[in-house]
Amino acid sequence: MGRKSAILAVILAIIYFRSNFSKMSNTPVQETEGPVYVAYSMEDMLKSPRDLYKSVKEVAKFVNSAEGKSMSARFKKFGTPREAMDFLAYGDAPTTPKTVPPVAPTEPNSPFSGVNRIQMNEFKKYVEKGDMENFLRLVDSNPRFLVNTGGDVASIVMEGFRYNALHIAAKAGQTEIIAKILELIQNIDFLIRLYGTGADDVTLRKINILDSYLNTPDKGNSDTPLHFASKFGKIGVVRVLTENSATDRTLLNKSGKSALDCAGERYTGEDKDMVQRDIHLAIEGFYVFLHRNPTTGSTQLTVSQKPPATYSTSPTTATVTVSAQAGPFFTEREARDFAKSWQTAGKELKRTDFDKGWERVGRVLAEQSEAMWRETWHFLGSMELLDLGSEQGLGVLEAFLREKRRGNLRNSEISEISTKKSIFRRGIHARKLDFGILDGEKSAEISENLTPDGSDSADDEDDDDIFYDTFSEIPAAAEKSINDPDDTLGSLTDRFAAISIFSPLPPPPPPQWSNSPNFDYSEGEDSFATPPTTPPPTFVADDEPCKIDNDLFEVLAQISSELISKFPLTQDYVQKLGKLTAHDRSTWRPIDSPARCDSRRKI
Amino acid sequence: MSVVEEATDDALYPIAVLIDELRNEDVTLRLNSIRKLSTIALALGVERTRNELIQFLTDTIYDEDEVLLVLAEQLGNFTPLVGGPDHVHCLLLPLENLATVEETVVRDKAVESLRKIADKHSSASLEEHFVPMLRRLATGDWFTSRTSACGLFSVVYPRVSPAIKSELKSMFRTLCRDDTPMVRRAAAAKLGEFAKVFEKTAVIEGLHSSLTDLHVDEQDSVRLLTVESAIAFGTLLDKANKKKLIEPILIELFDDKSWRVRYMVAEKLIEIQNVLGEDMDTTHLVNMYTNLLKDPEGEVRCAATQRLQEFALNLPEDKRQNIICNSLLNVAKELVTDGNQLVKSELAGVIMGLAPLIGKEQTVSELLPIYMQLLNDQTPEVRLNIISSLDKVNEVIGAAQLSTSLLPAIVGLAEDGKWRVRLAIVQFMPLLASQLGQEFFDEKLLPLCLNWLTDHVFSIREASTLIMKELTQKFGGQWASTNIVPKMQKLQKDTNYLQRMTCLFCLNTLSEAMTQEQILKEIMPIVKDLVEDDVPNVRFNAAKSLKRIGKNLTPSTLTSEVKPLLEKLGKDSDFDVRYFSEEAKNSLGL
Repeated sequence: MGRKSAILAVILAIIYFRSNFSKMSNTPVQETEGPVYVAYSMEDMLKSPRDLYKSVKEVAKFVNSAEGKSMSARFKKFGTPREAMDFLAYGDAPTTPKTVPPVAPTEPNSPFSGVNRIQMNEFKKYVEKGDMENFLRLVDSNPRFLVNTGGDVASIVMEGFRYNALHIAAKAGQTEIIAKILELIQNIDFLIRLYGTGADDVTLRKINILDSYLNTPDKGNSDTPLHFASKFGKIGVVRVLTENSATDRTLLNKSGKSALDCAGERYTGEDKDMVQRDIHLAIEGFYVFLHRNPTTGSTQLTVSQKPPATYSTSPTTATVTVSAQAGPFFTEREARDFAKSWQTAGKELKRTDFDKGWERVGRVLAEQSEAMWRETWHFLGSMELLDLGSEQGLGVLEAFLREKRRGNLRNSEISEISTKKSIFRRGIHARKLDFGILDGEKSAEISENLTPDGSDSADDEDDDDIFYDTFSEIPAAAEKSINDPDDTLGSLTDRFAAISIFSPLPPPPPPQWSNSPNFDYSEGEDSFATPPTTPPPTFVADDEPCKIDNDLFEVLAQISSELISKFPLTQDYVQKLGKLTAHDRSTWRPIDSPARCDSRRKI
Repeated sequence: MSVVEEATDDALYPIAVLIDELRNEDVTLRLNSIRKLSTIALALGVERTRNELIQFLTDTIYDEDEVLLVLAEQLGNFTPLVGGPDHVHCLLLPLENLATVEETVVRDKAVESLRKIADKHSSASLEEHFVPMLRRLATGDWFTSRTSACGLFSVVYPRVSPAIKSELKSMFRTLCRDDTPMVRRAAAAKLGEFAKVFEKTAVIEGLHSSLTDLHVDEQDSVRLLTVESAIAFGTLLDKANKKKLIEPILIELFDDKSWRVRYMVAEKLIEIQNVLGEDMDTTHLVNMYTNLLKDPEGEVRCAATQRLQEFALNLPEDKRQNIICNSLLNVAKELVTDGNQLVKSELAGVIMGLAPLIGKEQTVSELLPIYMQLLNDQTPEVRLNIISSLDKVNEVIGAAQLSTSLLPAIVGLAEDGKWRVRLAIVQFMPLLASQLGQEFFDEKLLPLCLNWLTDHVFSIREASTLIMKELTQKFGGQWASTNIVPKMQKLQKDTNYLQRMTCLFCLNTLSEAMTQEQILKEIMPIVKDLVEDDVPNVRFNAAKSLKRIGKNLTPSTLTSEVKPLLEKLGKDSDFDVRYFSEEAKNSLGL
């Protein structure tokens, strides 16, 4: 503010001076020798007194007087009185030609106010304790808990040692908090909200913020968050930090030690050796990477400590990407041995299954040698390497299924009217699931149970409850159920159970459903109210099953049911697909198969 | 009896050695022994090669890919070693195995060898041995085997009976609809080649359905390969069928949703134009082309821009000028400000090629503004390309008219920070000199050329000494004495030995464009001085220079002028100097 008005003052002064130029030049100026001093107002040059002082003392006296202070006066020394008068007339113009300074790129003003010490202490407490709820509450109320918008760096949570939130959380071993912080500060929407600017602006800042979080040494021992995690044996934190390629593992602290050097130094548990080993693996471990060129189908194995960059050889071929990773291995030799056995094993499988053959072989080998295994699943829409055997990997899958189901729900709402009209034309490809079609008492019973008011009401409900019998679209199953009259009823109901919520053993409803006002389960099991419209059965890549479903199922089927039961939609998916025989599943064609695409086009 | 046994043992020896070597741990040893395979076969004779060596190779085919690759290649040339066409089929089994391995390079080599030996088969043995193998490959469980099969149809088809022909057709059609994209890709790549060996009348019935299948494939990598196949079909079919069956497919590919496919279309644009051009509505084709020029993907615009001139040249003459001025140039004007530098560079390289096609008047009114705009572009590569097409402008309007606007651009490039850019403009100088005339050159460009002689990058100094020769040839020796020799004299006295060496290099090239009198008068005094330079590098380069310059002198002058200098250098304290002076003496016969 001060600077702006000063500039304005200068301009005004120039105008003033110009209009009075002749008068000024005629005014006799006291020509005294020696230095003179003037006092002037920083804020408004026009308010400045036009007095000349002979000594510092005199001018200082004025500046310190009440009048001087009221205009926040400064003083300046000049060689001659004329220079002093000129200064008062046009500011600094005669000595240094004063132009309007180039407009510095204006920094955006964050819509959020700064965080004070007390608030920061509260924040620190939550980070330390791993109190995710309160952590998120604070960050949501003011993102500046995380980012210092002044320099696009991490906010300092603890003065003195200048710890940022990662330092604190790493020391305390709060893995989840760290993962959340890293996720937030790399989230474009979060940053846009924080800065109040656009995506291009924050993308640049993001790099700086991330680097500042991961690689800033503290003020005491020059430890980075990775040093802390390693020192205190917080293996989960070490893993999260090293997974981020922006983390510099080679930084040294004041004692000249890298994060690896101080592994477990302050760890006191009995399993110190194990912890040190794990930290070593996470920081220095070797990985075997499987690269795939999706165009030519060629594959390549490499061994390295860091994921290699993706590359493209020509515009007509797609980018070669890492599609799976095994490791970390303790030594490069172990990794090379693994790569070698991966290269030689399973030749048959690798030549039969073109897009998952190598992965299937590698997965088994990794299990045998107890190496960690991650691979990409393209249907998820990202190149992220996932371990579906871990909670984190399953979490990603669960989120995907939830999103997919939500999308299906929306679509079915939108298309409901049109499907009503076209349903009869669609013939066997979309038969309405009416259990009356099936002969046999059992299914009739079920049908009655479901609509206790009788068949009339079932008809009334028709419009709301439309089911598509996807089995007619599973070639093998459809063939059997339609053409094979000897198919037992038990098997039929089983098959239908696989896809409908009328299943005799319905999977527990996913929690978010029970919260949703659309689906009311409160009436309990005894109530025979018409169940809500079931979203069409979800296959991961398409409305109908394809090879991807089989590939995914094979992996999920190996996971302990205990772990999978934490992910209801995934569990649901596994249960449904598990009802089918391996043979049925193996007939599912790749999603881009011409035969499959043709039949879809006809529909 | 014992004699016979002994002979057998002797004959077995090479195989025993081979087996030993093939079991060696060291891959390079195994590679070496596989490379010697033909020698071993020769030693064994045809019968034993067939019965033992080939048998052995078939059984022990599991090795590193490098070894397999060499093996696959060798077997393709084995026909004479197994006893010629009558027995060539014994090579099929090992090659069939190699055609199914995981490594693409090995498979491709095996297919190449199989194609080679297919020609060596008689028709009968082709049906008896080759076709069953092809059948096995094409219907195998492994996608690697099916992929390899695709490449073998075209060598078999022309030589088999109609019954087998129709079987092959249906096999190929099945491969075009394979579940594995890699197989479909191989089929799409070979479709055009296969169509070419068809009887003309049978192409439509036999393969058109496969083309239509492949061009709507889900995988863009498959669709992009059908561009070439469709072009091949186009050249085979008669007008009516081409219009009815091929044109719609190509038109769809122009609008494909994947930019990789559109890129391929742009790459093959001229071939497409040749196939469709004569029968298709020109406006429609031009519209499709301008769409490529406006494509959202930079790579596509680049590829399309590259073909601007050729496309225009191929247009029917009566409509050409109209189309260029009304359609193509309108789009080109947008490309001048394209966000992608590469697109602008391509445009700068081709745009002036349109000048001869549209005549002087249109060039001045339409092309010149584009030219000027590109000349002032921020990217050096763009300016370089546009200056390089100066000769084309010259043909139409005379470059002299442009000299005032060219100069700043040339000077800018001459001082560009990237040495490759400077190098390009250095090499372009002789052409500029001839286009713009001596007067302009002497006044404006010569100072630049002389400056380059002292550039801090060696390549620039070297290139500028080379152009001095061309310039001297163009403007004459007298020109060199007045313009270049003074600079040489200056360099000769430079404190930096590198500059003194540049001086020598320049004299080398100059001497080739000057008369003997001029050499004696202008060049030799400078060399004489440098022979006594303090730095050995300069002295031995002086020896080298004498060798080159001496080639342009008569024997008598050599003896009188050059020999004493070389003898002096021959007594130098530095080994290298003595060496090069000796070399110069020898090559000049002194």
